[in-house]
Amino acid sequence: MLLIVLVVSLLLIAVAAGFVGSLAGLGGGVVLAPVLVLFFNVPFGYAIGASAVSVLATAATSGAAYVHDRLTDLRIGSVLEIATVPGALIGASATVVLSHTSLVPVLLILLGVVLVSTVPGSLSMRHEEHPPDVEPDALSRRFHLEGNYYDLLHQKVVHYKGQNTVTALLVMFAAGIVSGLFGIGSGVLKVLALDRALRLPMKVATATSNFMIGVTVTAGVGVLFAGGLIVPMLAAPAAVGTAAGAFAGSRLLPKLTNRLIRWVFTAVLLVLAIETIVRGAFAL
Amino acid sequence: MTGASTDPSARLPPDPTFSPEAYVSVSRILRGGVIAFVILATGGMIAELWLHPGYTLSSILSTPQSFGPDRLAAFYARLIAGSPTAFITLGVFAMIIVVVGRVVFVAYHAFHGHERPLAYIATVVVLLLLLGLFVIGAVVA
Repeated sequence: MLLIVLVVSLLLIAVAAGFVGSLAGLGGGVVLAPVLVLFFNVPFGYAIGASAVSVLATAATSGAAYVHDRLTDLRIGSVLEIATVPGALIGASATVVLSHTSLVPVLLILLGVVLVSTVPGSLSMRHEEHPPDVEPDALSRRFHLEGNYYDLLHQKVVHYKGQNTVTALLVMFAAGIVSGLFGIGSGVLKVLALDRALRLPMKVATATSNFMIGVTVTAGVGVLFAGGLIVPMLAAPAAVGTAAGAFAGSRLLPKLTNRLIRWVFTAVLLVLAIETIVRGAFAL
Repeated sequence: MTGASTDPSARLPPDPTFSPEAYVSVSRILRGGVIAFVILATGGMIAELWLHPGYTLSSILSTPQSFGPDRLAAFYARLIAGSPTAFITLGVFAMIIVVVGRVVFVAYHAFHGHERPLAYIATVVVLLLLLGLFVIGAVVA
């Protein structure tokens, strides 16, 4: 395949990945990496490198918009980064060991099963536009894990408080490991931690996840560079495309309901879970 | 590159640590990194396609790849030589710098807002990011 055909095709696919990613709090890497492997015959390691750079682009593009719109919670995102960054460093370092073993497919299947198991919980909350008033735990009170956002659609200020902080930190640590292992932002796990554990509104959860994934990927990107896995002519169209898609998505999100965003997230979650299991089963 | 046209800060109660200006500054830092990346990456892509119209996937996989933060001297040499792919890598560096920069910014504001625990957390995150970029990558390589 001529490079120009690859570049143009990748740009178009990346726009769609960035658009969905910015709405669902994902980086888009989980879409791009398998597309590169399955449809363009790109070796898995190079696909991970391109996917990591595209996650950086989604995070910075969506992050710029959501921080400006005060949908991102700077405090909560910053506190939880203390768990996800060490996880990413451990995961990225483990890639060196695990690439020589058969553990990666097992981990993929395990991750897929975990993701599938969260779908019923997300569906059970499908009618919830704003989370109920909750009692914050001691850690949440200590770090002031609460905030407000202005809901453009409902024209009102929504207040929220975090709870289950320890659970959220543990899930963030796991998200970091997965991110380092597979070169993805692990936004799906981050949104689960922010939505299901901390009980933040979906808009704040997806916006804060988008804010955090850039830091998580940056932690592991040095390893990818050192391993020669970042190919500029693969990374550039993937990242420019996702940046364009994420820009469009970030303009749309403030105008959507939390319920609709949860539906989008749950659909993406289910597809990703199945895809992860299939990738593990066929060792892709 | 911002979402809503309305200013939400005017409607929200004040944040004791992060002023509305802090939110705008973080947004501008991130936006600056994306704009720099898009310009450099698009320019690099066009130049590479112009210089090598017959390239295929196997061509780009068999040529020398980008040099990361652990090999800045080699990267700089390719940049000076005018390699289009080095300019794409420079764009990636711009995004990495703004991501690290915005964590530094959060640490700075947390110190000034007398939120010591948050400031310490952000400082540790910055150190871990630098460790990952400059040390762990080199060790793995």
